[in-house]
This record gives sequence, structure tokens and C-alpha cells, in this order.
Amino acid sequence: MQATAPEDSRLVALSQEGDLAAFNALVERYQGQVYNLCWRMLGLREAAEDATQEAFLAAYRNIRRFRGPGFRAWLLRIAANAATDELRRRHRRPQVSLEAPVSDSETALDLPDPSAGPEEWALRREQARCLQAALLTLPLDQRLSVILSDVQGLSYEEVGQAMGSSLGTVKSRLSRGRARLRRYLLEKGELSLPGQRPTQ
Amino acid sequence: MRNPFVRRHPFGEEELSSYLDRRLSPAESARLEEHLASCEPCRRRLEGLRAVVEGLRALPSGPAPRSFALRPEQVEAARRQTPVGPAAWVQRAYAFSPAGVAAAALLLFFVLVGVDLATLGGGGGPQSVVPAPSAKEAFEAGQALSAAPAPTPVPAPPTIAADEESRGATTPEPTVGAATPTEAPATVEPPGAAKEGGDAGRWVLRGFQGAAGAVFLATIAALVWQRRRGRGVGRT
Repeated sequence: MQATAPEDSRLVALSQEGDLAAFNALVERYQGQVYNLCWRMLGLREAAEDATQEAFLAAYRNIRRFRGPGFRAWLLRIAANAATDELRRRHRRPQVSLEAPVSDSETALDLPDPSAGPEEWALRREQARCLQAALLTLPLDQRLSVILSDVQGLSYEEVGQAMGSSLGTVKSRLSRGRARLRRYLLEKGELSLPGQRPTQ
Repeated sequence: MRNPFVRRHPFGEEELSSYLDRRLSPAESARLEEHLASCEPCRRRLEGLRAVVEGLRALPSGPAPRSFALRPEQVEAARRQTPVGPAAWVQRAYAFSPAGVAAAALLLFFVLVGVDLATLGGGGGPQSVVPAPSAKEAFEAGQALSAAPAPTPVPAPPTIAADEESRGATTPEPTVGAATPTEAPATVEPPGAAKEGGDAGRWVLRGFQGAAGAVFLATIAALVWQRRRGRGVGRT
């Protein structure tokens, strides 16, 4: 399990004494990851922004309760809660369908590295769009474990800490989520295996 | 007997997924690799999973679209929402974990059942349960009442007076009430009222028992539901 980095520890200690500037330094450091998690969970820019802001507010309100060991996992846990709450809130008042395919405007933030050639860039963009749509079909627990592990690169231990789950549960959710994504992409003809281009 | 498919392909999605993350033991990895060398379907499954994982890892993670740094007025607004003083104390007092609520409800349920059973077995108290009188007891109580000059007959079986007499009937002198007819009405009325009060108290007690049991069951159901929906992600 990853411990809080020394710089984080100092900023967390200052934040616990009410130092807003120190807390905002943590915000600047982690807002990309938190926003990315919320965006992958929700698939909508506006909803992800709301959830991200709410997550940081909740983290500030509760920072005195943080006792370690990993600040990032603690923060991502709060972000996952905020995203889940936002998802439920939007399901109760469905102004925009969260199950709808991700539109171009929503994927504008999800553009691949532009240094790739135009064909490669278009292909990666299409794959990213398909994977995001596939992620949104997963049950919340599997979606969260796949995003934390495979998109955000957390270890099993950190995923367990962020989800409040045992390692066995993490393994199980992750494998079921991956298998479901594989089946979804196979059905859509979007799974590219070695030596094979995805069928369109 | 094992499923023929499982017998032919003994490694499931979880083992394949763990293998991709190098989370299998060396012995398990060796067994899996040995199987993969001779099993085309499992190789395809593994390659499919590998493609999914590599695709996910390659997903771009752009920077946040704006700064989410908190402004002092946001913090102040959040602080205003957070109660202070007695309100904060009340909020903390109610901020139990679901497991704690379930345990407390179960404890309360057993305490109430214990109180109920204690009053049931205690006898003699104003709220004690009156056992149904036997035919002999009813007959003796009826004799006592019929000997009394009361203008309105009082039904014998439900009254405590009759019952107290019936309990007395187990002694060698069975009809104390009947020996003094003028006392009979006086001994019938007040204990009957006390019994009604006892019944009401008992129903209230059982109501609380039911409520505690319902809270316990509801909390357990909520915990199970939360776990299934991935709400194991704790709230802060």
C-alpha cells in the first residue's frame, strides 16, 4: 500500500490546521487524477466537474479525520463517492442520459497524443471512444475497480484502500470487469488482437 | 463431477486477469503457461484481456479542464453548512456506522425481550401476564362472583381478582373471596383496570421490540445492498 509522500504529509498536516493554501497545493497536485476518475465514471464533462469540486470540498471538510496511510487513495475514495452520488442525482433527475453513447463534444477532453500520425490518431481516438462507452456499461463496482487499476494505475492494495475492499474482492471485480469489457468489445467488433485490426 | 468445459480449460477469468498483473505465484504461472501452450481458446481469451488492459492503460488522461482550488468563500459556505455547537454534537451523535446501528438495535431488541420475559415470569406485578384460568378456576371464580350481591355481573375469567383467587385455589382453602361476599365487588373492579393498563404497557413494549427488530433488519439489508452496489466505498 502506497504511503503518503513526504511532501503530501507536510501539506496534509498544514491543511489539518486549516491552511487553505496548503490544501490548494494538494488540489493542484491531484485535480487531474480526481477529474479523470470522475470523468471516466460519469462520461460527462459537466457532471465530472461537479463531482470533482464536491470531492475536494468534502476532502477539505474531512481532512482532520485523515490518519493515513495513503492520501491519494483516501482522496480517490472521496472522489468515487462524489461521482457515485452525482450519478445517482442525475439518474433521479435525468436531464442528460448517462447511458447514451459519448458524444464528440464529451470526448473533446479525451483526445490522444496529437504527435501520432493522422490515421493512428483517428484510430486511437475511436478506440478511446469505444472503451469509454464500454466502461459506462459496467456495474459501478467493476467500473471503479477497472478505472482505478487500469486507467489510473493504482496497485491492487491501493484499489482496495480506495474502495474499502479486500484484495480478493478487488481481484474478482477487476477480472469480471475486464472480461465484460472484452465481451462487449468483441460483440462490437472493436477488439484489436495482435496482428489484427479492429473491424469497423 | 466437473463441467467438461472447466475440465478442458481449468483457468478462469480471474486467474487470467491475475496472470496479466503478475499476481499469480510462480507455480500457478507455470501451470497456466503450460496449459496455454496447448490451448488455443484460452490463448485467445488471454490475448483479448491483454488487449483490453493495454487499451485502458493507453487511454489519455488529460489535465483537469480548470482549477478546482477552493476559494475562501466556498470554504466558508461549506463551514456554514456544517453545524457547530449543539447542532454539531447532535450530528456527531447520529453519525454512527451502519454496523453500529445494527448492533445497537439488536441489543435493544434483546433487552426488551428480556424485560418482556421477566415480567411474564415474575407474576404478582401489575403488568404480569394473567394465565388463562382452567375450568376449575373459572368455576370457583364464578362461584365467588355469584355469591356477591353485585347488581351487574362481572365476567370472571379475565379479571385478576378471579385469577388471584384461582391461584389461591391451589391451597387447601380455595374460596377466600366467596367466604366474604361483600368484599367481592371491591376486589374485582380495581385489579381489572390495572390489568388493562398492564396490557397496554405490554403492547407498547412489544411495539418497541418490533421497531428495534425492524431497524436491525433494515440496517442489515441496507448494508448488504450497499455492498452489492459497490457502496463499500466508504463515505467520509
